[in-house]
Amino acid sequence: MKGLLLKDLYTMKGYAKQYVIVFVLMAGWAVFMKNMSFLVMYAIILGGMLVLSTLSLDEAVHFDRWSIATPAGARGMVREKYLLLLLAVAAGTAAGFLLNLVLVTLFGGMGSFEWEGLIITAVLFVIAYAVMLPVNFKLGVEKARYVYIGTVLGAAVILTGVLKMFEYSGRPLEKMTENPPVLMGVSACICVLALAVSYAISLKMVKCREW
Amino acid sequence: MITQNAVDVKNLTKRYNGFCLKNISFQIPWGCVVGFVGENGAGKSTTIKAMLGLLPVEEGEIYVAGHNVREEAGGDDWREYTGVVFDECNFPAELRIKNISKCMKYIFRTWDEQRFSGYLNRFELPLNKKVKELSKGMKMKLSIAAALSHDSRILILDEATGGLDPVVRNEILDIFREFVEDEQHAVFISSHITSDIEKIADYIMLIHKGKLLLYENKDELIYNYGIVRCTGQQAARIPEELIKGKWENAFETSVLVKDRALFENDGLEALMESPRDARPVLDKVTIEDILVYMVKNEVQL
Repeated sequence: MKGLLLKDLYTMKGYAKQYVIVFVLMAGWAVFMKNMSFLVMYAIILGGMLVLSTLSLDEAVHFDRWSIATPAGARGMVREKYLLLLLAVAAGTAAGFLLNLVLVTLFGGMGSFEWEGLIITAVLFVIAYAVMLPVNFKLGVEKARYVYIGTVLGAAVILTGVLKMFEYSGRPLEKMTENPPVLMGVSACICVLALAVSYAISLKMVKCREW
Repeated sequence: MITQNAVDVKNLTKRYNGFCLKNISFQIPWGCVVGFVGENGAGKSTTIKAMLGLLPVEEGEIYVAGHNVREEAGGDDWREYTGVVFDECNFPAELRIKNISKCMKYIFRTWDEQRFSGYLNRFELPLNKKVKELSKGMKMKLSIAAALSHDSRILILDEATGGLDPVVRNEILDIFREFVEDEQHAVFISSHITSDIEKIADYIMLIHKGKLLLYENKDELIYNYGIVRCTGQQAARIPEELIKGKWENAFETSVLVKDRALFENDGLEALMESPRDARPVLDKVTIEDILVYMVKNEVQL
């Protein structure tokens, strides 16, 4: 698995310049909008996009088929992609926070920083990837990309509905966010559960698929 | 890992809509090269994928280096002894050659960096280049170098020489020959280029529409088979049991025959009804002839 992870990191290194440019542009946009949480949200999304890129590159040359035929096997290949996703989202979040810190230090107060929104974004994208990865292993990356977009949009609509329900029921979201550890704990549980179920399905898909 | 055969396939069956790999059984002995031929869609890649555990199969047993491929027990360690090269280079385009070894040593427990760099030198593959910057021949050489740089004892090659020029193909065939000089090694190579198979294989395996038509020692095959070029009337005098394929046109009938020795010397004259008839000719066969005649006639030995 370590070898596959290294391969992805070397591959991503080839695209590093493009990602840095996009990230810097987004940082400029965040400063202009005076919304630093946008930057961290974007970093999380960008981290996830890197995983999608590696899936696409693997599929283009059938590296996935080759890696299953090595001692890494189907299990190693699937595990590596989930680990890469966690690392990429974590690295994206860290980079976002770090850049946010730098920009706040340089330019002073930059408006509100909505950590609740960030957690919800992270959960939303982890769920989208949890849905997308088994589809990728079953049907390929192109169809998985549509599923990913559909899941993000669907989840956003559901989330908006839930928030509205909270509002109408007289229990606004602020009540929930008054207790950060609870929100973080619930979010972490949702992510772990989604990824665990997704991993099990992905492994089954890989084993049942013809490579 | 002392097994009688490098690969043992028993009653392999895989069904698709409109195609079925039917009850395939064969063995690949150690120290041998087995050439796998057949037309497009005959079932070559399906067989190879089944051998590598890359597709679920309905029935049959597949043992590679003594490991039952269809059983999960025992893990994926057997893949350490299996070098695989497909019809394209599977390394991502952005990867630099120098980084491949760094990744492979964590994938293969037995990865040998020195052996890999030896192959890179031999193939003149520049370390700093990205995979996407290599020619098709160089990419295939890179794949072969990787397949040979761990403790691979069985090389499984699916159209690995396709699309390469004759010089590169010869160079690659030399490497396979060297590999199989070790009696504890074996090569299974599928290719459309039957001349390559003829150069390197000890055994020939022919598949057609999912059925194994032939699995025979190459030298015996070439020695025992012949093509009789004659008239239609003369062809009719050849005993049915010797005919393995026939090709007719307005001018000539060509018959693929078994036991060519029977036709040498007086055998051909026996086909002539009168001394004024044109004398039939007995030609040597190539693997391509056998493939074409047998597939056309769907004859099973």
